[in-house]
Amino acid sequence: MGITATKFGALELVNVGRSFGGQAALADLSLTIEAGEFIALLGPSGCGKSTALNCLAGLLPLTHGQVLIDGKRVDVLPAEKRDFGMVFQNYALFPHLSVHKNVAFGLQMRGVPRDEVNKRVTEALMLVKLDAHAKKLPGQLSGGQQQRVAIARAIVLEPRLVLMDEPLSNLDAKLRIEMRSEIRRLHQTLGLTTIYVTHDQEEALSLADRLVVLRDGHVQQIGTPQELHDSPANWHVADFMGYRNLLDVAVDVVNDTTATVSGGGMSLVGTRVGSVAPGESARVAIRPHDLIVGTSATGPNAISGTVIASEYQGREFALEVETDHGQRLHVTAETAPAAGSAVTVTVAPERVLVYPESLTGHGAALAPLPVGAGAS
Amino acid sequence: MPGVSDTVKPAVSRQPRMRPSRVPGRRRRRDTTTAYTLLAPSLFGFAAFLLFPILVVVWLSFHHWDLLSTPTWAGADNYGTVLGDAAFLNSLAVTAVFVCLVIPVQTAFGLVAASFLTRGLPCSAVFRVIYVLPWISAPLALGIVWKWILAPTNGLLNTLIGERVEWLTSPALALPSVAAVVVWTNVGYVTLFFVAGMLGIPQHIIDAARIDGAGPIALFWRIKLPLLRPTMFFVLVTSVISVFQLFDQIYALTKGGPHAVTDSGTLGYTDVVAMRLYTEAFSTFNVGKAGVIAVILLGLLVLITLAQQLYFRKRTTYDLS
Repeated sequence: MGITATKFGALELVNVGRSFGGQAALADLSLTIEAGEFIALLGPSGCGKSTALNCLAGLLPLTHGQVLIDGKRVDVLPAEKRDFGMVFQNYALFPHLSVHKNVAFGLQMRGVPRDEVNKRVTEALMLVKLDAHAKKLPGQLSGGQQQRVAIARAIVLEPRLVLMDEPLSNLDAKLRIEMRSEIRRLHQTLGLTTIYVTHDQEEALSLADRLVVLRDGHVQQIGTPQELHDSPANWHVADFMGYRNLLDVAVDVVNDTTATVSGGGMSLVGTRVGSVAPGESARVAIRPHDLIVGTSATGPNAISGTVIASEYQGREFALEVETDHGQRLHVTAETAPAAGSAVTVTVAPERVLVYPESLTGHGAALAPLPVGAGAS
Repeated sequence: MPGVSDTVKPAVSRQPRMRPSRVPGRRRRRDTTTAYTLLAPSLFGFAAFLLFPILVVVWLSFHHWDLLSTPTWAGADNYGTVLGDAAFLNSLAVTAVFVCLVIPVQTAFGLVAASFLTRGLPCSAVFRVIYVLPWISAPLALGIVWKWILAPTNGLLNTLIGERVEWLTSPALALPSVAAVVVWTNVGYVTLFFVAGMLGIPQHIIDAARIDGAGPIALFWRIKLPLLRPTMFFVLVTSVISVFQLFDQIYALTKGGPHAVTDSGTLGYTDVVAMRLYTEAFSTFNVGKAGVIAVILLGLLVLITLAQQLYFRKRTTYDLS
């Protein structure tokens, strides 16, 4: 294997921020990335993840903060001097150049001798299984093939850091899954250090070693996929991690690790995450998979309601259940009661996460969860 | 008439089950009439201001006419005379040199100016307007202004350099001087299109090239310039046509001179084809010969445009949309 990533010790982002017209698109992002790590920046549109990537790439100047590699500042260098590779959402291939020339472009810009260019381009195209298409123009390739050319163009440079800006969002579902495996394979094979921007939590969880969840330019949580999946630090992260049921409630009683809350005609015992006090507003997060459909109300967290819609999703059904007080719940079940059926859903207290309503204190340390809580 | 039927598709599509071949004859005739009625203003403009003058010029090229007497049939005499005329052949050569001087220089200046104007520098919009001002001004008026600037005595340029230079009357300097004035006039027009072309290149392609290590020069030569080919084609075609047809400024500046007396007759150093055409028609009143020159000029421009189209079609193999 000829192509290998250029190694470094650590890449540090120190209070990196970017504002547009006084409005902070990215605020005080601090992160240390080890060589060979795969980091995913995750968040909804407008959360600042692409801004962060463009700042790292040198396409946007920082408003404040520093980017350092092994202690040396790189944020002061222009994009062409940073020695990074980037894969764009819309491929950004040079439409007038063949696949071979697209991949060779960066090497030629770096003054690599012609023989070496040809050798490395051939290797890169073989890695992405496009060596048979080397002479074609980008317009003659499918979306998936174009994205593989874009990946080859990034990795052929043996960059210190590969930046990927939602590279799979223009592909269909099947191709997206294939390309996801391809990206992971290349990352592991070549030992690349990768920062990957996405709004797809499933993509982020399956690819990344660590995730950074952003909201309104602020970091919400940094952690491994398992940490974020099992122990979201606040309701926003929980929302992103598949806790589709977010209910506004009032806190009635708080114990050491649990809280009793009520709202929408329900009374629930849940697991306290963060600081909540009796009388305060809170937000409860429950995964659809954690709600169990039955017909009799037993246990502390039993909610009666009516099935108003069911959607077949292959191995399971996605149900929408309206409680007797009009609250709608998303439930996943192995069987689908007919629409209009009266049902009772129950949920274990450790599967009910009770968060403070406020999201202030962004970037705070991961809120501790009791053992067993949150994991599903 | 499928093309016409297409234009009135909505009328037909109101009856979705009716196949085009089943459209009743009366309806089809009505649709065709409607289509021609809508096309009439354009067809009239095309016929009256383009087709008819071309036909008249072709007709004149086969006649002897001095603007006063009745035209008389000349057959191919005028063509023989013009093709053997040293003054005409000289004007072709002068035009060729003129095009070779003007087109590359104004294209290069246009590209450089466009590169600066698309960098988002302060006052770019103001400069874009300033650059276009000469192009939207009356060419004859500009010619007169430049004649004063380039005048050997009391001319602005000679006053500034403190030396008497015969810009417009020296055989060596007349054509380059006129070419410089034309470049100055046209560069705004060229720049305008290159600015539009450069702004049409997607930013992510520029970003990708920068991340791949392209500095400003490589970015221009390797990415921007090749992606400007459609714009370049348009600019070159229209520029070549306009320079081939250039008359006003040469009339104002040199009237085709300075002249050299040779064995073949008097030949002008700036006597371009359009100037020669004017001279034949309105100085020597050989309208038939002027017609021949006009026909040859038209043929040349069609050939050059076709050649440019073939060249660029082979090299524009992408779509930026």
